[in-house]
Amino acid sequence: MTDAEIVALYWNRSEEAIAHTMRTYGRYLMKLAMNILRLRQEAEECVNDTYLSAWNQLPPDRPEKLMPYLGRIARCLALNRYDYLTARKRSAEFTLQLSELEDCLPASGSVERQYESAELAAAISAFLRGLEEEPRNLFIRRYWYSDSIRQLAARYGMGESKVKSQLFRIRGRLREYLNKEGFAL
Amino acid sequence: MNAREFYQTIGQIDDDLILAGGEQPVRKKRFAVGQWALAAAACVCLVLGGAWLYFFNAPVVWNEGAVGAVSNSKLLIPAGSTPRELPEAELAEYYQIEPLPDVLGDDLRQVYTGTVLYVDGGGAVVHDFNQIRYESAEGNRSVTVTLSRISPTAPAADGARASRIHGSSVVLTQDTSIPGYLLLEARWERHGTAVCLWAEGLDKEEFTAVAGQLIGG
Repeated sequence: MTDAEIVALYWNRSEEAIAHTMRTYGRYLMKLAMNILRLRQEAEECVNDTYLSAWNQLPPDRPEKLMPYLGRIARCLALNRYDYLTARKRSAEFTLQLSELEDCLPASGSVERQYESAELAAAISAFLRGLEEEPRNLFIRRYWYSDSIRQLAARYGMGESKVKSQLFRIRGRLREYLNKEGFAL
Repeated sequence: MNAREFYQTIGQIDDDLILAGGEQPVRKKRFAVGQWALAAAACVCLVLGGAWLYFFNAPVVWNEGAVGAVSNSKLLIPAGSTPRELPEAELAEYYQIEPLPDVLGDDLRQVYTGTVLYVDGGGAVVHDFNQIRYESAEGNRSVTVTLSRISPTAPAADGARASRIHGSSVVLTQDTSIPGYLLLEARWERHGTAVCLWAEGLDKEEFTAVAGQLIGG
């Protein structure tokens, strides 16, 4: 079943919408949630809440591609859950990812510029498009899919040190790019 | 802006970038001399193993298509029912199966997080879908076992062909619809319990072996 057909089920308020979503994207959403939360039960809760959110948001939403649409919901829900778990010292791996992203935040005192989150996201997209394919996907796998360093090393057939150094360089370049574009973060 | 907010903003990057990141890359492999020798030995073993399988076991049949919807969604739990813990020690008895092993395959260890039955006001079980997960130490390979006697699970696709594993009829399905994301599933029934097994990060041979381990024989 295509994404458009599944979305149509939601719009028609058909209960089959959830079943088809589970079948097609259940594993992907669980993997995404597990990458952030590292706890099976928490990730399951997150995925279940993603289905509920989708049911409540479609309509009025009508996404062209369900994979990134559902992934964004799951990421957001997992991040909220992570905040709660952080107090209990869980998911050290995801804590590490967030600390890495501080490298991308320009120092204060740069040119002030009003921005919307969508505008910043567009700038990040533009930056990523300027990268070679592998470093681009490495960044996206680390900070969108929340893969661990070990998972990335296995996925791209490189050592963990090389993964870390590549990500370090990309973060530095992103920071310079955002500075140049006038984003004060 | 802090790192958490920045992480949230990254979530809004363009869809095509996200989709491209989801595709399996062409991995570059460098083999040392010793690894070539190992690879050659593995090929010999595969040939011998394949011959053994051919002569002593029927080859399995893989169906192509979407794997079944098996999930513990809240939407499937009957309204008004209440959860009752199913202790690990009672799980095998309830589902009338052999006790689940602590380890599947070579290194997939069980991650037990509790199993639950949902009962109505009279104490009758109305929902008994449970999942037990096994993971590798690295976290990049996992198997999930789902068990159900009452709760409905999506049936196998029409026309799906069954294989024989240790004498049991098993429907094996592979889903290649998401690029770079191979999903494998096995379904069988044992004493009235619908058993479904699905895996991430395993190849078909390892998955079949794990299914065989659970089926027994």
